[in-house]
Amino acid sequence: MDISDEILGAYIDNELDAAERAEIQERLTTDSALRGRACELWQLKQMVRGAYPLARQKDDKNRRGGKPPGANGWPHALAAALLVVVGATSGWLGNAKIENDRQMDSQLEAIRSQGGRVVLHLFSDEPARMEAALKLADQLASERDEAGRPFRVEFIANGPGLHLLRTGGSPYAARIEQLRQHDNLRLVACRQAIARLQERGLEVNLLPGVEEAVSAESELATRLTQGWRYVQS
Amino acid sequence: MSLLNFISRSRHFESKLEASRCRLWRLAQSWCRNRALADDLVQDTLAKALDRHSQLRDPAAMHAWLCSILANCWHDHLRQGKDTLDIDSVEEHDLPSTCCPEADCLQNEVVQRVRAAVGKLPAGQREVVTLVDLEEFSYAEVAAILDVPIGTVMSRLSRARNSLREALREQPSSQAASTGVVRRLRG
Repeated sequence: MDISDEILGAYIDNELDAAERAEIQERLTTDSALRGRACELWQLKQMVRGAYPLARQKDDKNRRGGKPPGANGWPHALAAALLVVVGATSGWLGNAKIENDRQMDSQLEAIRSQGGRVVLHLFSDEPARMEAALKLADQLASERDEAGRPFRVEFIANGPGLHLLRTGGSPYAARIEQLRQHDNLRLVACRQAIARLQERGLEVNLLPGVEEAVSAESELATRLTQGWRYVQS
Repeated sequence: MSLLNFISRSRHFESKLEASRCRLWRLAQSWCRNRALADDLVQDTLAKALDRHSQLRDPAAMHAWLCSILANCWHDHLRQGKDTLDIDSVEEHDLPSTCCPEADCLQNEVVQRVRAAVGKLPAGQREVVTLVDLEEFSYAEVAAILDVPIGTVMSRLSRARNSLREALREQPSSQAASTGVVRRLRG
């Protein structure tokens, strides 16, 4: 069955139910043309997001005649542009998943051979996907490279994935606390995702030790350009 | 409700309105591509929101409610035939700055191309793609904001993305420029 642009768009926008999503993901593993279309749609979405950076409140008041502020670190638009380029070459949708044991093993292998630096992008709050990310992080944070240096692991959470790093909601608070014992692991929450929840009237408190980045995109862009491996959960 | 309660509720409402202002302005600007007009649309929206705040049933849905008021203001504007502004008069300095001229250049190029492509979409498609991609509303929320069926949201979104893909494919020079920057940063 052909998958229409509308359905593929709904997959990218996280609008499908679990069964539909599983069907698309299955097709993505075997159908390279579909993977190309999905990747392109995803990139388009990032480019649109990157083209309209959000001015911060206090500076926005002086907007007329002055420059709206860029984010610290990577400006959002540039981060999105870089992600498009780096993402296209590293196969965002095709080989960044860890949804079964086979994918988990091949990711572990790739991360080990690529210097042991990995950024785990948490974009979902589905228990199975969170579980997989925690398992991978726990494994990697205990490993060392050939020179005996510990691997470096970074969690970056945005969208629904932010749930994992919040107090009062995360079913994995104890697991996260254990992970935090590793000096070579950072937990990073996207400030834009936090702001969006706050705008909807939700109180957002992060688990102890969770850092904030200007945006998930800027943090990902930094790590990817530094040669880190990207894994999405 | 006591007077004190009422006043504190109103203050809370106003502070939430202020928090949404930046997002509304960005959305308005993506639709009309003109800063002064975006200012006016947002002012109209906030004034109407204050006027009608008793109509907001679910405070958690406030931003969606504001976006629907903004969409109505924008549609009123289009209907009044006031839209005589030059569509190419986007102000180039409305971009975050960077410390690196090459990055500035790449960023401006990508941003301008994307904004130009979004600006060429029919208004209905432009609204849907920005509400989904910038504001991250669900399809159901977008359908409610624009008062159209979900099927219309999906078809407009799909057509919008097809047009954007074609428009952004046309100039491959940017891809080369981007790769150059990545190589330089890695090296």
